[in-house]
Amino acid sequence: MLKTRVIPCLDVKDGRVVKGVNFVDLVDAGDPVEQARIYDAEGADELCFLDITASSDNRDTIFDVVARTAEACFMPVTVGGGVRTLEDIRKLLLAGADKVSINTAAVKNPDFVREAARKFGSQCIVVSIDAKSTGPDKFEIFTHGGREPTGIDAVSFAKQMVEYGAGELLVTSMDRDGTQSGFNIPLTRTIADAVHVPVIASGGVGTLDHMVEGVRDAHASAVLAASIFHFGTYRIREVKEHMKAAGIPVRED
Amino acid sequence: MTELLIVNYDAGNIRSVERAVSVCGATPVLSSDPEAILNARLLILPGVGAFGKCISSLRGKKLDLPVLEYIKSGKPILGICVGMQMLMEGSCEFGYHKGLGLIPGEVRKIPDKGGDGYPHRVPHVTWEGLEPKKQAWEGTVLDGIVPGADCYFIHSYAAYPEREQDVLATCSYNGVELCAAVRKENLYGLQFHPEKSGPIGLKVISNFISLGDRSC
Repeated sequence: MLKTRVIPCLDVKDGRVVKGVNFVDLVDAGDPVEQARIYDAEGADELCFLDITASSDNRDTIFDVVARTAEACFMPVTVGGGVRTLEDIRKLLLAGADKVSINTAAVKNPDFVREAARKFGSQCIVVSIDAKSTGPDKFEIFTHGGREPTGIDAVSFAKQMVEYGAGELLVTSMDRDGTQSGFNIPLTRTIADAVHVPVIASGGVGTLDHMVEGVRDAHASAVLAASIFHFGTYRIREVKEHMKAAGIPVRED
Repeated sequence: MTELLIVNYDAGNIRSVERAVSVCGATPVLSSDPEAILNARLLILPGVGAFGKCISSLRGKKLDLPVLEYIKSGKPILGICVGMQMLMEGSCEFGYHKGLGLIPGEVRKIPDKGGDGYPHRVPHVTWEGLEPKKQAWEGTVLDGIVPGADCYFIHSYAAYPEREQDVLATCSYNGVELCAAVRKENLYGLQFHPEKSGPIGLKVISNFISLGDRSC
């Protein structure tokens, strides 16, 4: 069985991490670079950056933050949030991102994913799918932080994105995000079983068992969480030890 | 401090390679100057993206011949990811493309089925343990690395060297053996990304840098 990646996610606004952090050994709790350094030292397998900068005026700060973070850690870095053009991708990759995650732009213009994969290679194009259960075995894509329904079926969209060259899918359950009640297992599993690229489960992690469920029950190749790491509820190492005890292979130092 | 030249041919993100080299105690120099390539003591050939795009960019910038000349001199070279694949004879990624032809064998798509015959996921994106093949690791870039040590892989295509003696390390993806590292005399290639593989990756880069001291 493949080693499952454990991915902490940083929500970054105007160049600063917005969720609170309780790491005692941080010099500057709001600096994403400081946090990335700690996650790196703790054995995180990848880092995900979500730029939630509200105003487009501050967009350029992300390139600087990505550059400084990529310099601070020796693990792969994925950057998402506001990726809309090939030029955005080029700038992020040059700043040191290994992969970019495309969300709204993929929903609005699926061909953008095809162009991006052709230009930069599938391995660095992650499509981020925000979806909710809207009925039994029905999953719909939502945009604008889960507020706007699109009428698009999440599973068909996932298949289309893979066909267009996405190398990985980041599946976030909008009905679970922030609830700490666990991943939306049917959503993640249905998508993971429908495609042949790695799927990252996201949204809803509150306990160590949720991480195990993401792999064992939802068939994800990687598990992503923000709050439990930000607030220091669990450390990366604890997650890995728990998964290992549950029979899920992880990378060990 | 030892200088290490990173061949700059617009091959995507080389910033992290640069950073890793400097952390390991050498001075990285990015260059697309044929003269500088010939005179380098240590060379890294990076590569991210599609094979065809990388090799045509290398040739377009007329850097393939200087790289080949450099290799002939016996000084160490390290290809990373597509930089490693380019050392092979050719690749089947998006049509057939000729490589530098230094190691017999081709680059082909990773099998879409695991060792158990069931479909598995490609790209192969994960940390995977390195295992030795015929070559001993002592005195190579993998000197001191413990078999099974995890490194970061992200690729859809893999090198299939014809001769087992050119394979320095393999990894097993769901029971399918993939080439993780090649070595032929002064020529090294890594399918994984040492610059993204934590302390183990840095050790590999340090090992490569110390090869430069020995070759002079």
